[in-house]
Amino acid sequence: MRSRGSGRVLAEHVLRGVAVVALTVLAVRLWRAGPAPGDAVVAPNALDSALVQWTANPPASATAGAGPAPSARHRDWLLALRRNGTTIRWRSEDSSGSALVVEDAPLPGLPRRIRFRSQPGTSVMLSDLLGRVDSGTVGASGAMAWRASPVGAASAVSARAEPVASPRDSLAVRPVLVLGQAGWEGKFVIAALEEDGWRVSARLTVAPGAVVMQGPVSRIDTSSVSAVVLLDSLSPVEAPRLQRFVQDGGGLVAAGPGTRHPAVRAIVTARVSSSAPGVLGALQGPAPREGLATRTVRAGTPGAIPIERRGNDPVVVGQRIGAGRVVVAGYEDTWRLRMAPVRDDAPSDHRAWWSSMVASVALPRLLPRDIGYIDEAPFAATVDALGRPQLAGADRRAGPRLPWEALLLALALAGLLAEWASRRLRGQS
Amino acid sequence: MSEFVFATAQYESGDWDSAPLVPANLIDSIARYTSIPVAPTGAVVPLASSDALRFPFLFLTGHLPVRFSEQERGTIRKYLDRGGFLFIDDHNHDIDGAFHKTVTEEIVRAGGPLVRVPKRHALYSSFFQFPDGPPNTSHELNGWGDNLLHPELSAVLRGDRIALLYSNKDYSSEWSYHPENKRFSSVDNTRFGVNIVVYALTR
Repeated sequence: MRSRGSGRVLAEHVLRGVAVVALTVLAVRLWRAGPAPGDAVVAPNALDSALVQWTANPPASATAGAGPAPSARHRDWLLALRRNGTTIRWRSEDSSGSALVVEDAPLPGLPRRIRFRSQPGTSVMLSDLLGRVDSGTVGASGAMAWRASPVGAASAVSARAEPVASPRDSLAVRPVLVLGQAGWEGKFVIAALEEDGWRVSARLTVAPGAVVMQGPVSRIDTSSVSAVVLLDSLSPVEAPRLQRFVQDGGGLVAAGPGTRHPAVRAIVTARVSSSAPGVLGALQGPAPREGLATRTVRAGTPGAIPIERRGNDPVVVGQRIGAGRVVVAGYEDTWRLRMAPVRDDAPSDHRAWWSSMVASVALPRLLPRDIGYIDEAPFAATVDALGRPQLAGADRRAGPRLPWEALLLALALAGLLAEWASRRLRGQS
Repeated sequence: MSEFVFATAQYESGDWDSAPLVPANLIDSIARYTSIPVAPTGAVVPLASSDALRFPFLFLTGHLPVRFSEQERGTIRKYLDRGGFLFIDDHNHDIDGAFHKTVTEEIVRAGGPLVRVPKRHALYSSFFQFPDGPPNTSHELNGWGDNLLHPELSAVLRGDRIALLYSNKDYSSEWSYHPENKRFSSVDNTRFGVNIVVYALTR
């Protein structure tokens, strides 16, 4: 039978052994976690010189350090090194990515639409060829938008990425053709569209066989016209031709008496009620269209969407027909909106309303541009080229893990301390 | 679709109603030659009233000196800016006359500078063809007024559109007769009036 003293000595040996094992395991783990032989790691600000060095003396593997996603030039260079046999990895501080898009406005003459996406709270500075345009902080939605026309490419500089973008194509809109009887409605619709930047051709009937023509358009097809505005019920437009135009992607706005044109009826089979007077005095109020006489429009074809109502009755209806779009507006004499005497913004309201109606149906023609250097989404492009990044500070194994190194060190220290204390209490040094 | 209403501008100074038969005569011509829906009677609208904007075509004439009130000037300015068409004719046919001198001052003050309308302007081909510019009136040819043939009209422009047309050819006298009497003319002398209305309705 063992004595109490010999048991204590055995425990001290066990504690010493545990400490030695813990220190050994720790040493092995640290050895394995270090860079592999031949692995080169470089910080983002030293990537330029490192790429030169790696090209001259390719390492077995290389890692671009944490920071913003590599630029397009760095990305291409890293991809070339990978194809040359070097294992390329990259690290990133976050995996949300940032992206910038610049698009032409849907209406002619308006500023472009610029949209930026990043993590909420990211500070960003928008610049173009001439310098700084604007700056701000990304809101909770993760998106920011501007209306501006940058000179050259636009860039959004943040701590996470520096995307560069310019419109990929120009939104060229062909002329709008206005057909109708000579009168105030045709005159003021043409004026409103022209003032808003549209190119307008017109055929206004003055008398049988006498037509006042404006602009070069001679036929209704999608290669010549982006939209047709039909303002009367008698214009010599054949239903099959207009139907084919809409089916091919052209836009059609029928307003006033134009809603009763046989060609429009053939396309949307709209049932238009008799005219109801407008609300007295409403032309001068906050909802001036209430003051116009209207006809209720009920489209007989499925898929029609009421865009504007008076009470419960739809007065403006939109519908897709084939590849094109049709808007039927039951308002009459909309020129009165523009000549409303009290409201100073009456002309701009009339202009904006007509322009938006035509823009909602007009067929744009996308012309590819020579866009030069762009890098709209650096993070996504880098993932596409080099694979997923290692998150900065993260282990190669995915998922949460225990702090094994600290635990092993603590275990070794605790074992040694307990073994030392036991020996001291026994009276041994 | 609303009808075209031939409206005569009533102003506080001078004699705005000096040519009372012109509206009926031009209404008759528009109905006779075109398919434009036209109201059978004209309207008279005070220039100082914002009601003037309800009539995008206005005719103004007179013999006497014209001094617009501030309100009338404001209405004219807003009217022209929004797309209205104002046709002013000198009923005196006299460049030394009181109406011409005063109304041209007022036009510049309310609407802007007057420029010459070239003979190839769309105004002269909007319906009937007038390759030589504005047709001469019998009053010019008979040597009345200033004894001059005025070869061109003047205009105030908004963009490239005529917003205000000014004539000192005295169409007010030329067209001031009962429409039934057109049958005695070999050529209807109101045809140029149709061009003015068609231009106003289409440009």
